[in-house]
Amino acid sequence: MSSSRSRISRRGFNALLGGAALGAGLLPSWVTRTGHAQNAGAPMRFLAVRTPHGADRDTWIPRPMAGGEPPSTDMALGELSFEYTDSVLGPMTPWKDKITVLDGLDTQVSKEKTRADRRDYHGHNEQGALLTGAQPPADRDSGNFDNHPSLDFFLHSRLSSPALLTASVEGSGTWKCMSYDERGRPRDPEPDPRELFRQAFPADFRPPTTGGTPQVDFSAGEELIHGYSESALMRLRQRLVGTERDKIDKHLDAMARLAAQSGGMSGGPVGMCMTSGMDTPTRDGNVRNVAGVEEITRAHTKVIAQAFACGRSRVATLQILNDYPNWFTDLPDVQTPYIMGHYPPGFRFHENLVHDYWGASGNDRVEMRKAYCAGLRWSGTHFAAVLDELDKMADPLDPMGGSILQNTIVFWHNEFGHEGHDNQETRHPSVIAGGGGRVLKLGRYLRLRNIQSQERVPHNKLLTSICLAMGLNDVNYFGDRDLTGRANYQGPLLPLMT
Amino acid sequence: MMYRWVTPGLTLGLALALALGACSGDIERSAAPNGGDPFVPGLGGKLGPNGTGGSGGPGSTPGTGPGGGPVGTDSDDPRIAQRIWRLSSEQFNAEIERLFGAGAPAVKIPETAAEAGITNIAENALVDLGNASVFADGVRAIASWVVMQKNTTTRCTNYGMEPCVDSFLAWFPKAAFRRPVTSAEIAELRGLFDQLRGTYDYDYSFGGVVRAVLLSPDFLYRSELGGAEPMVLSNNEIANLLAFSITDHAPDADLLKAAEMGDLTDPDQREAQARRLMLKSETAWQRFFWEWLEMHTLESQGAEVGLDAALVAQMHEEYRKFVREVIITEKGTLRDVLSAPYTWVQPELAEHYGVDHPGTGLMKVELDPGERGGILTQGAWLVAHGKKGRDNVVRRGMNIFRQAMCNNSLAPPAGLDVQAELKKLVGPDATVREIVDARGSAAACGGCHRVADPVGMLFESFGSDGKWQTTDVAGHPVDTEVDVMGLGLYDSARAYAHALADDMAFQRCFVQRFTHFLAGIDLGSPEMVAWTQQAHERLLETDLSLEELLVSLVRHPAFIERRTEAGP
Repeated sequence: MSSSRSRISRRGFNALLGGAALGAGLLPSWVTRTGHAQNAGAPMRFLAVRTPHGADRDTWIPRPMAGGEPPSTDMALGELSFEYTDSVLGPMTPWKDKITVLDGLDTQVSKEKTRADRRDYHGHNEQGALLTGAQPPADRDSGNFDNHPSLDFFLHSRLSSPALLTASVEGSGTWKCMSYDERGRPRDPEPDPRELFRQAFPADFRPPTTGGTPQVDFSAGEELIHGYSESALMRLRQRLVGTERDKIDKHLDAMARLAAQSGGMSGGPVGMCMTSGMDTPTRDGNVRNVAGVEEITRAHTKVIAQAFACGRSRVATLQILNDYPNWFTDLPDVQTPYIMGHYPPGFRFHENLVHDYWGASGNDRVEMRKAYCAGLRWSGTHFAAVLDELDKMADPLDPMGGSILQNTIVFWHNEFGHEGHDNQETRHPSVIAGGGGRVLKLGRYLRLRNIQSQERVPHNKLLTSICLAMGLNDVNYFGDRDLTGRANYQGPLLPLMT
Repeated sequence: MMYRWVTPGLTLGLALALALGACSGDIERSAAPNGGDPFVPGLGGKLGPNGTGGSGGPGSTPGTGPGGGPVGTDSDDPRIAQRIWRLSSEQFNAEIERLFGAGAPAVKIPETAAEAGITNIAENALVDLGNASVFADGVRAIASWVVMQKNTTTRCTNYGMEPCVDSFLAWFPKAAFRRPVTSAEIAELRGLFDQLRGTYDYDYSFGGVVRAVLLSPDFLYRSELGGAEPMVLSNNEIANLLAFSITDHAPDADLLKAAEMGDLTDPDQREAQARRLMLKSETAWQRFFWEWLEMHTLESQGAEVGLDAALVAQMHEEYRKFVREVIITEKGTLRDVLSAPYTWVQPELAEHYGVDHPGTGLMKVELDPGERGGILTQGAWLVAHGKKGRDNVVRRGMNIFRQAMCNNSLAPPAGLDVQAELKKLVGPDATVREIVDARGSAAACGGCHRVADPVGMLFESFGSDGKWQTTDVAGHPVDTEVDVMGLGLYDSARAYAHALADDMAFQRCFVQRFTHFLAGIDLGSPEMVAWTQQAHERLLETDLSLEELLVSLVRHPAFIERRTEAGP
């Protein structure tokens, strides 16, 4: 038994090195040190949320009450307003002190094309670049990000928790994913909250506050059981070479890391977690009608919050629709008299309205903006619902009694930026929420550059900022391996850091 | 009638190739992952007359004996590499049911995205950081359930007593590992139980043994390792490969017996097993066509176009029944799948289609051959690739162009706003034909759309809800007379689908994707791979028999031989 323990322990250590090695090809600076907890408070979690259709920066930023541009590049949101004609971020008004709006962030990586099989122009396929920080593939259908994992996968590899949660409201597609594995392959999101719950919680998971009977220490038994499968894996490994042996190494490391997590395998005590493995949500993943989008958004987020609270997960992504589902056209605010007269019944929100908006002028543009922004504002209500669900859940691991939201970095972004045209890599609409302002500022409007200039602020810097906020203080760059030496890609977004 | 019931064959295939060649980089024919040269057929000689002859028998080396050609992805040794292949979610759950009966908690494994729609890819089937907890938690939940059922699941009469442990170990590891087990393996598991029992109660210890076995790679993976060169898979490995490939389930007793007798390196024995397993292959065929033609969007699209969920479920039911009856019961051909003038529907779906239903329940109905016939005119495919509020031309046409014809298409060039460009070419009241013509003649779009859109137009007789329509969503009369790639005039989807079965490019794509599905790896076009070229020729020789295609694939030495991957 002791040898088994020793083997697992060593493998657990190797697994941590594996996390470093994972980054080693991308980020040599990660190799030197492993991450460590940020502080003695609650563990920080991470949730990335994506909504579709881009945004017109003119209607997306907060503005002074009197209108016009925010007079300063770094302002309290309390001094600005989301309430003006066609404002998109209206639903964020109640959350002003818990979010920071980033203006002038660019997914510049999608323009670099340092490798022949990469793509250097914009389009829906740059979505994968958002969390991988890597150049998108020329063949978008492959969805292959060339051995660049997404931020969620990387964080999960560095932080201690059993489940990496990847959810969507309606499906995505090969080139519309958020999450990418270690090889840069897209990971299918789970559209059904019931299945997401099952991934987060085993059926026999019991909250530590129920039952009342003393806990039996199963750790020795667990080690024996997993020692058996580990031995079998090692025997198979001896028969393999190359990529097949790599498969077994990944398997071994993943299992060893689970075994090393206190409470992970056995569903042991975690603070005041209140969720049982039988508390499966009732909502399925079929949207059915326009109201279903928020229903599923809330159901997914509740599962994520429960998993965060019970130590079952620290990292998740949630994609709320993509450009194809057409529920937006069912919104009364989108069905303006102008729009209904301009388009046939059942028009496409993206291919018709969104694209037409960018080419329109005069009154057409005014009317189309009204409907376009109404759709985006609806997406804003979904993000507000995410914040609401996270805020409603008390964090049992927070000694200060905070909510899950206060201990979760939430990154809300759109599938596109824009520059007078949709589907562009510039001015990516981005909001940071949660995290309690411990490392990333909250309640701020931050203009990161001269919006009218050709200056670019690579969003990789934001990804690095998030790594730092998650306690990975050794990370100085996150993204494409070919850009590790570019000074403008290095380091965090300083204006965002406390 | 404007269409012609031609067999376009090579002519159409050549024309398609020419049309594709005119795409000026917008599209490219898909090729084998590492390029084509290593797969040039003929290195191993011409095929035998029935597509199976001259395989050389066990031990022959592809590329050196008659009928043996290169199949894999390595320029020095193009056989498929030795590999392990993790069970899919469906296979995992089916295995649990086979071992313990129905009722165990199901496990859904988060996966990487599909390749060309095909989900069960050997290379991508991993246990990694993204899904390890699902296995660990799922197996623990299953073990808890197993011990709660006591005698029922453990096949004991005395669960809770020591003898049950031994009787359980007498069958469980062998069944779970899908191969004979040694006495040492059983002793190791018995030792595990005893160690656990020294500290913990009976249920935990028993469940621990269940968990250990279910988390073992011998259960979670199928191996394709073989022995010494020439690397022929072991009989048990062949049995597992045959069973999972054809039925999506573990080998049955007959197949395991054949493996035990050492028969499965003989192509005649593999053929006999494949023909027998065809009767159990409905799940695999249903999954194959569903994935290949990307019909997984049926539910979401059905909801979007306002169809009742029950009717959408009936469309799915129709698809499953049609595939089962046509391929398994009737031993039908690829042509039948594409154009059979009948289907099986519930009364509500019959009404949706505008056809008579003989009574109640799921019944066979005859279709108007001028309207429907085959899976491409069924609600499942039409709705999955429909587009609310617009014509369905691009979605349906491109699904056939990309998926059914194995073409890769690239997105519009940099800086091009497709919709804005289209608006410049046609007015707001343009008909579908005017839009299609404009898109096909636009330099940036025409390369692909000139080929794909006419095919999509043929399906405009069906609305996005799958109903027959004579006027489109804009109120214009439906116009489906099209010249497909300048070669054939057609005016109905079914006529086109019928001809499609005889199109060489389509057939090659079908064989490529079916092999992709069967072998869990994309080997490229049959034009470049002797193994699948032989299977394609067999398909042609047998009037597109799906069973004969399958038999040809499993008879070939490439099915059972592997190469050693280069070391680290």
